[in-house]
Parts: sequence; structure tokens; C-alpha cells
Amino acid sequence: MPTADDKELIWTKKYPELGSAPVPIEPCCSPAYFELERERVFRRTWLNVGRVEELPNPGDYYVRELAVCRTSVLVMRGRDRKISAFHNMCSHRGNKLVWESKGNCRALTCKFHGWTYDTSGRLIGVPDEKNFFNLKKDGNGLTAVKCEIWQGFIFVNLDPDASESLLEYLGEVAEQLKGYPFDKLTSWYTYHADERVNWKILLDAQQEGYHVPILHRRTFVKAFESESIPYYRSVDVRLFRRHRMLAAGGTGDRQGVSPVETLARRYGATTFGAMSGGDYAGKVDSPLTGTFDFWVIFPNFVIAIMEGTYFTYNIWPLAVDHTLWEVRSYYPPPRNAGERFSQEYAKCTLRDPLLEDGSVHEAIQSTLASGAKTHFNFQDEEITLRHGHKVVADYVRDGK
Amino acid sequence: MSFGYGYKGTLNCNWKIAVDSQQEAYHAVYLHRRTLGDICSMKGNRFMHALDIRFLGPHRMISLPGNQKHRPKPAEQVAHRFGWSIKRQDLGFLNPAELPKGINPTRAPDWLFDIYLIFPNFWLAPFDGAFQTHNFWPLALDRTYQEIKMYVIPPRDAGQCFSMEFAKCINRDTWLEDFSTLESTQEMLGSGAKDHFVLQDEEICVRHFYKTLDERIGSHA
Repeated sequence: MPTADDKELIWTKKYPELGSAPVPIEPCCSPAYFELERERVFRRTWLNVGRVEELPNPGDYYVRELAVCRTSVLVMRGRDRKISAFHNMCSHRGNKLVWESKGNCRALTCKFHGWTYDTSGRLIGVPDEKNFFNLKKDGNGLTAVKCEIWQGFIFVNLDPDASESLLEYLGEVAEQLKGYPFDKLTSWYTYHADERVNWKILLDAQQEGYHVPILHRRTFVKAFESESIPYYRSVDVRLFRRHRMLAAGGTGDRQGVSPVETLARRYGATTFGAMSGGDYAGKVDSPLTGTFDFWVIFPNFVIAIMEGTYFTYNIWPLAVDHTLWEVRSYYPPPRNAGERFSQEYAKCTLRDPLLEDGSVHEAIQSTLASGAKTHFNFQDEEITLRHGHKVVADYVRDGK
Repeated sequence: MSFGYGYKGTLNCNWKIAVDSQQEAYHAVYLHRRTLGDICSMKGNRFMHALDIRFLGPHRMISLPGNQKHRPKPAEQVAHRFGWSIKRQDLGFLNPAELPKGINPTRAPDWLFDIYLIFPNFWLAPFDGAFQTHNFWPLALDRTYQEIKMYVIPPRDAGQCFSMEFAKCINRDTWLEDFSTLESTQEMLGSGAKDHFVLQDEEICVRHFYKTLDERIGSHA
């Protein structure tokens, strides 16, 4: 077991180029900075908008409102089974084509004048067509958005000139997550939180373990606490060009397991059991570094993997101080009441710590604008935050 | 005629988007299929092509026909026994001998109503037995306050009251359909996915409106 002495400042030594200076607060409360993030980060990167299981059949579609990109995106599985994405906008007068959040169709008709598109986005019907002026149906389909799939995750890129493929963009993340059974954990629960907070503050509150023993003293603390290491220490931190990962090592069952938890673990992975690496049913061999690996895929997507369960965050900025936090936790489709109980229990024990996390988001934002402090003081274990702010600043400065 | 009923509200859209939705009839056949139905589509004129369109300096006028073979539903038949609705063409309130030359200018037998667009933001539509106005007030680039007023022959008995209430409900539903596209259009315009409107012949008033505005604003680039 490592001691406190050799567990200090190790990440800053591993990544010395990030330095150790305090980090400016202004990018978290400046509307002008937010507009640059909108144009230079969110309209130019690959954004996760869901999973293939949401579109099992030809003609299935769903809509994602991407306010940060000032658009609404229609994601659809065509009759040819291919998944494509489009701006959800009629070519005639610009009306939003689909108003429902999801559905199945043979074709989609605009409610304004009845222009009709097939499931591949082609314009196939124009009422009173002869009254137009040599209207070319071919050139007036829905405007396509770049759409690629990795491990069942559907990503879009709003930049029509984006040269990087999704796989190139993900880089080592795709390489290192290879082999994780995303295709088996296809039953998920969702939480949405609409919060008055900058998107980076929200993400920052999630991507370090320093807060765990304090903020989560009633919930998660036992998963990672150890008598020989008084403070939280990551097992590993890996920083890539844009993305990052922190791995937490769990305490197993040394801190004890409650009776309800024991019952739930008989049927599957619970949040606490999986995070701490204890004993439970339904473990699936996984490419993990710790017991709980937290992957941040730039800019706003998080995949947190454990053995037998994982959860994701999609963090959608709405304004400089307003963010929609979408949480999904994934399990194998339950085969019996026991497994269903286990998942309901796991869901609740994830919800409670997330509420604790959420409790600080708005409190932080409400004080940042005061100008009382100009910088954040990050410690070594918060190097992931330092990295995150630097990557955003690089994009905002260079526009790439 | 005097004020009968109306609606007003703030819309999250540019004022021109709101005006555009009231200066072409191309949308009527599809958007209003559940409310106006067969009054908008007739033999030889499935898409409610205008009887006439005239530009009057910065203003413009559209004269529109209705389907004379329109089949009123039972409640509508009762209402029409006592008064006007947007689906009624033969009230006989207007005296053909004294008709101003700008009302049903082509003297078409299937005339339903005219729309006058008084530049920049006033809309006036005479029918036989009622007239309607819209005031479009821009509040911001993407916010508009719209007021709709319907002026009617004041009802004198219960039958005429019923008729007016019926007319009001059809109008309300039709206007709600009109409003339904405005905010969703505005929302998508900012995406940059498309940079032009594709207009057909019957939407020429939209074209005229933007040209008139452009000429007044001059170069703003």
C-alpha cells in the first residue's frame, strides 16, 4: 500500500506542461467567452447524441435540441438501415420539420405547407410543385449533419468542413475502451437536471475525487476511503490531447455491506458495489484500470465504467450560466424480478450522490460572478480540471 | 361592423416570419386541413391560387377564392343560418352594386376574402360580413407582439350570438395553427443550415415584402 509521501504531486510530475498556477474563473461567467465556446468548441467537435438502441427499426427517429449549436438535430434510421443525422429544418421556409421527440415514419411531412422527405432526408413531395421555378428536389433535401457511430454511441459534428473522423477524434479513448461490453448493457435509466450553472463548473464537480470524502460523506465515501491514505488518490490519471481519464481504486467490501445492498448484489451490479470493486453478481470482464474509470470525452460527454454497469453524462450548455445535465445508467436487460430490483436499487444509490454533486453546482455559479475571487486553486488530484480548462482555452484561442 | 373578438400574444419569432405566415395561401391546404378543410381546395384550383395579387407601392393585396361546393358540417349549417363565418361566402351583406373596386377586384363569383398588407406591419382582410386585422409589433429581433381583431355585425339575437361564437372558434383554431409554425421556424433559422427561402409563385408577396424592406434599409452589410 502506498504511503502519503510517495502519493503527492504525482500527476503534476507526470504532466509538467500543465504547470501549477491558479486557473482563471472568468471563462465560467463571461457571456462573450461562452459565445466563443459555442462557435469554436461545440460547433466544431464530435458530440454524442444517443445510442443505436434508440433506433432499432427502419424509420425510427428522434430529435435532440442542441441549443448550444443553435439547432435541432434529427437522427433517423433509414429504410436502408443506415443511421443519419440532419438539421431538423424544412428546405422551403425553414420551419422545424419534426416537433415530436421521437417516433417512427415512412416519410416526414412539414406541418406548414406539406413538403415531404423520406427517411434518407431526400425531398420526395412538394404540393403544387409546378408553381415553383424549376425546383430541383435533389438539391433541396434536408441539410445533413456529419454522423458517425462508435461502440453503438451516435455522434454528430455540426462542422460541415470537419476533416477528422469520429475515430480519429476519439484517438486513444477508442483504443483503450475496446472490449468494454457496451453492447450488453443496453437497459438504461435517465435523470435530467436543468441547472443554473456554467457547463464547465458542472463537469469539474464530477471529474475529481478530492470532494468525495467531504461532499459524499453520507454516500460514496466508503467506496474509496482507506485508513492508510487519508485523502482520495486516483489509481491513474491519463490526459490526452483533448480527452482524459481518471481511475479510482475501490476498497472492496472492507467497509462492510448493508443488508439491502447485499440483497441487491445477489442479482447484479450495484453502484456502490461496482465502484468499490466488491463482490456482486453479473461481473463482466472489462478493460478497467481501477474499479471505476471516469472517461471525459471532450467537450461534454462522460463515460464512467465499472464491471457490469456504466453511466454516462451529456452536459448541454444552454447559456453561460445555464446547463442541462443528462445522466444515464446502463445495465443488462433484466431477466427477472431480482435483477430488476437490483437495478432499481443501483439507480437510487447513484441518484443520491448525484444530488449531492448537484447541490454545489448552482451555489458555485451564484458566487463566481461576484468577482471576489479571480482564480481557482487546483491541487494535484484536480489536474483533470486544469487539463479541461486548458483544452477549452486552446480551442477558444486557436479556433481548432 | 364593430369589434367582435380577438387574440393577442407575444411570439418568439421575428416580426417578418409572423407577417409572412399571413401573406400567402399556399399553407392553407395543408396547415389548415383540419379547420378550413375543403373551403381551401376546389375543382380546378386545388391549392387555393389567388384570384389576384397586386402591389400598391410598398403595400400589397391578395384576393382569395373559396370552394363554392364546400360541404358544411351540421353545427356549421346551424351557424350559417344566422350569420357569418370564415367558411361562408354568400351572406349578402355587401351590396354588389356598391362594392368598392378594391374589394373582390376581379368580381369573381367564388371570392372569399381579400388581404391588404399595409406596409410595414398592418394587415386588413375584408370578408362579406366581417373584417379582420392583424398588428405585428416587433419587440426584438426574435420577439413579436401580435394582435388579431375580428370585426363583425353586432349580433341581435341568440341565433346570431351562436353564429358568432361558432365563427370565433373556427378563427381561434385556424390562428393557433398559424402560430404553431412561427416559433419553430425562428428556432431553426439561426442554425445556418439553410440560407435562403425557396418561394413559389403564390408566395410572391413574401418576395415583394423583403424587396420593399431591403430598398428602404439600403445597404446594411
